[in-house]
Amino acid sequence: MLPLHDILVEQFKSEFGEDLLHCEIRNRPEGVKRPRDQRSLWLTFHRRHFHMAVTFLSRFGAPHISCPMASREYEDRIDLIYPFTIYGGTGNYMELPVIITAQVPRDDLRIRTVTDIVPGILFMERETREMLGIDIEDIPDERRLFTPGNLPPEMKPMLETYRGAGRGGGR
Amino acid sequence: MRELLIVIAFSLGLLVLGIFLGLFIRGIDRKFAAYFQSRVGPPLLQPFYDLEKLMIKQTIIPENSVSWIFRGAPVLALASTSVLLIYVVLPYLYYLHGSSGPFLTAGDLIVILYLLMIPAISLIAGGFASGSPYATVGAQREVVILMSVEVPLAIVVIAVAWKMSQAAGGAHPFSLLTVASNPIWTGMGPMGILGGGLLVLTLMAVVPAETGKVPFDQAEAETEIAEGLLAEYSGKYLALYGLADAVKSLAFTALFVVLFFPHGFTDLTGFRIVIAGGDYTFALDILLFIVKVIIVYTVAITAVRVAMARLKISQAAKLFLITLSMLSIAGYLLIYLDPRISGL
Amino acid sequence: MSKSTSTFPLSIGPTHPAFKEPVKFSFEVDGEKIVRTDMDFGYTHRGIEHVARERNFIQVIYLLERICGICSVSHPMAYCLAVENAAGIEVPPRAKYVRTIIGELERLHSHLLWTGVAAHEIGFDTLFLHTWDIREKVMDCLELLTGNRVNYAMLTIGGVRRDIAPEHYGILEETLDYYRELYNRTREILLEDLTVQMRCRDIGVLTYEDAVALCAVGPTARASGLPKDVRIDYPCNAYPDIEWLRPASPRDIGKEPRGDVFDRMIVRVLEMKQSVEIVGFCLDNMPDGEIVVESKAIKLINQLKKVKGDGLGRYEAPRGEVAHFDILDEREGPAQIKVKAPTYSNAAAWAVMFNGAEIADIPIIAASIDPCIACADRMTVIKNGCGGLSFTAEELHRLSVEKQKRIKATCGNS
Repeated sequence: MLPLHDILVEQFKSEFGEDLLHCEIRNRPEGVKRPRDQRSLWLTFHRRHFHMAVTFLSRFGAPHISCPMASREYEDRIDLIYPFTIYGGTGNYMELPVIITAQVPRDDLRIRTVTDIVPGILFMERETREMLGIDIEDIPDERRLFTPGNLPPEMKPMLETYRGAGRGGGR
Repeated sequence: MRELLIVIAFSLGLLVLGIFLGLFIRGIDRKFAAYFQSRVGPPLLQPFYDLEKLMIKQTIIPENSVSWIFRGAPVLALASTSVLLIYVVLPYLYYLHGSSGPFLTAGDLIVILYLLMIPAISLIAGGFASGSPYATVGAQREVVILMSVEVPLAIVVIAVAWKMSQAAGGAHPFSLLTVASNPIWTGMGPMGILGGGLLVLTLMAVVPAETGKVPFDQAEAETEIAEGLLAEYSGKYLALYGLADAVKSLAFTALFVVLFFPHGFTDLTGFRIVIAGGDYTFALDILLFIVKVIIVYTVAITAVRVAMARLKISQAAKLFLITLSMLSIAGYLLIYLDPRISGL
Repeated sequence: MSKSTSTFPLSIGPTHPAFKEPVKFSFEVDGEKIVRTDMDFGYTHRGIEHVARERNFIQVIYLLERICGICSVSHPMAYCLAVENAAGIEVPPRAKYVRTIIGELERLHSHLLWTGVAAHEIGFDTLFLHTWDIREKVMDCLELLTGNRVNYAMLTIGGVRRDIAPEHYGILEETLDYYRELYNRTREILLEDLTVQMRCRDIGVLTYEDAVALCAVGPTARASGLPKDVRIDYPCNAYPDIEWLRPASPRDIGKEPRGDVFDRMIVRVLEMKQSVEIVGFCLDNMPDGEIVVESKAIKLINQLKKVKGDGLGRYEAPRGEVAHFDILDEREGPAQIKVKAPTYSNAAAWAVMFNGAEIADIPIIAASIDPCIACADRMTVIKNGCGGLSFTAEELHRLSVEKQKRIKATCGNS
């Protein structure tokens, strides 16, 4: 029998085919006396297929969102990195981080919400909305989360444009 | 006329002494609590320093408060607790001294029951008048506490009065003088003593509720509603409430002592202390009284407040209205049945 | 107490005696019952994620240590793990054990701290002072090992900065014995006291289903019967070596998890014992050898400068899962750090816990997830010429001087 992560990769490949833009399993040995591999699964999708991918993932177990979405900026797109984990709470090394990258084109910064699958992601989507200016479609709560109300609406602090913006501000 | 003046002078003296003693006992309470919690604790005179500081602090009246009620409530609270203290302690002192006066039968348990409510009502009025949501919630809670505490307290008072009517042959059963001169324990069988014990237990639970201490400090719960009733009070008015609280605690523990442990030195030992022709028994009695008050205060307030968590208001109300009411009724029944069964 | 059908709003926070940190709750209250909850964060934003982009890899460790004063091992730990994952750095065995010891001592002191706070919230100050009194022992121990009571500055990328010297073993063992002795007594006070039970049983219930859906982590999840623990699910450091380690659960003392405040207390009490045993295990099995891969910061930064990639670092902080996502982009420092503190995950569960509770339950429910608002709030922006937001240091100083003058003037008049 194949290990769980391999099954997962096979399933994703057969379900999505060409739409799965990139797929990678990373290993890292941990432990001293009983060394085992920590595995993680890295998948990349276009934002069109992102919601479907998370829905597909939720068939294997309830996805848990580990961390707010990080972003990587390119000329024509922003990659939004969703670090999910599944199989949590089932024992030694069973948990598997599934890091899904969604590619969002620059000229149309929108992505569909996944709060219908992972309700706990709501705060993080709100944060993404205010920090990166990526519009989350159908998000149940459109308010800001962290930034103060008098922040100019066009200012999205975590974008590369604002790198270094804090420098000297307080000096 | 002369007697009246003497009573007034006594009362005023008693009041001044009562305030000092009340604050001092509060210092002892804090020291004891610190000891239980393995802290050093503030100096014994800390309540006096606190009072002094509050007196020189700025007093702020909230804009949306009902100003005259807000200002009047603390004054009323202090005034009513003062009267309460005089009503409780003065007849008892007369009893200890063995003298008689015109106002002895005025120290009536029913009056005391009503007087006990006035400080609470003024707190409630002040809370509602503050115009702060925290104070409003606190005032609502105080109403609930007030109403639920009255039931077991009234039953205890009735039980004691019934016993008095038996002991004193029907003359002034509600008078504190009667209560003091006929300790409830005299002529009791084992069942009666058990019943009396239940009444003492009930009253022990009523003490922290009447004085607003943990576990019944819901109205002022710091972590829940930010001191609730007192949220908006500051400076002199807060100091007045502090004084009223100290005096009320003293008066209520004194009432406890008079109801259940009124024995003077002579009652206990049968001796009188006569040194160089002067009779010092009265002085010793007063000392004994103060010691008894401090013991009751420490057991019923300090020990309880360090050993328990704050109850929720619904739990507190249930405790008083059901558990403690049942307990006090059981106590009353046992006292009532005692002579009948012992007589058999 | 009123039977009216209409509700009224009650705001608690941003500053309130029940909260040690600013957060604002807006409740819809019917009598004493809460029917709707909303919360507002962002009062302690310090822009840490933003600032971290401006610093080099080593500076960031000490910046992240200051996200939270209580989990000042957890955040650097998750960050170091993330960077090590991204750059493929292997940590020496001894460093793994030292990291585990410091992390578990931190868990012990954090849980004791929480117990004290929870006791204070329900008005039980004696318990509060008792637990904080016994907490001093582990704080002293941490100070001995690391030099500081908080912000230990112990971790670095690829290892730890200070070794645990052989002469410290005896003191550590003594500390562990002290807590082993105290354990039963503390457990009795916490779990068998009647008033504590009255205030905590069936209060703030989070069901198993809600815990899964809302992505609850740490003791909050474990109390709801969801045995989630990064130390066991996805272990790092010395945790894979500890065979007997299982997620703490109320079942361990024969109680079915109900997901209430009391269960959270049980889980934390059990975890204190677990932490003591883990430290004992690490001391017994401590490997010899190096404690850091590269002790020279400049060399390490130069090495990391060549890396392009990203890493996810996860660690079980006392309050739950801490996750850092670091993007390395051939710079002197990380291109981006995303931080998730446990409170960020558990805050969503607050809304569920509060529904149907009474006003009196608010403080203890809020405290029951061991909130660390400062951990969750990390971002805000200060930029020149950006509306009313920007203040220079001189301006702030001027404003504070003006305010003080104003206060003096009004006080003098009254």
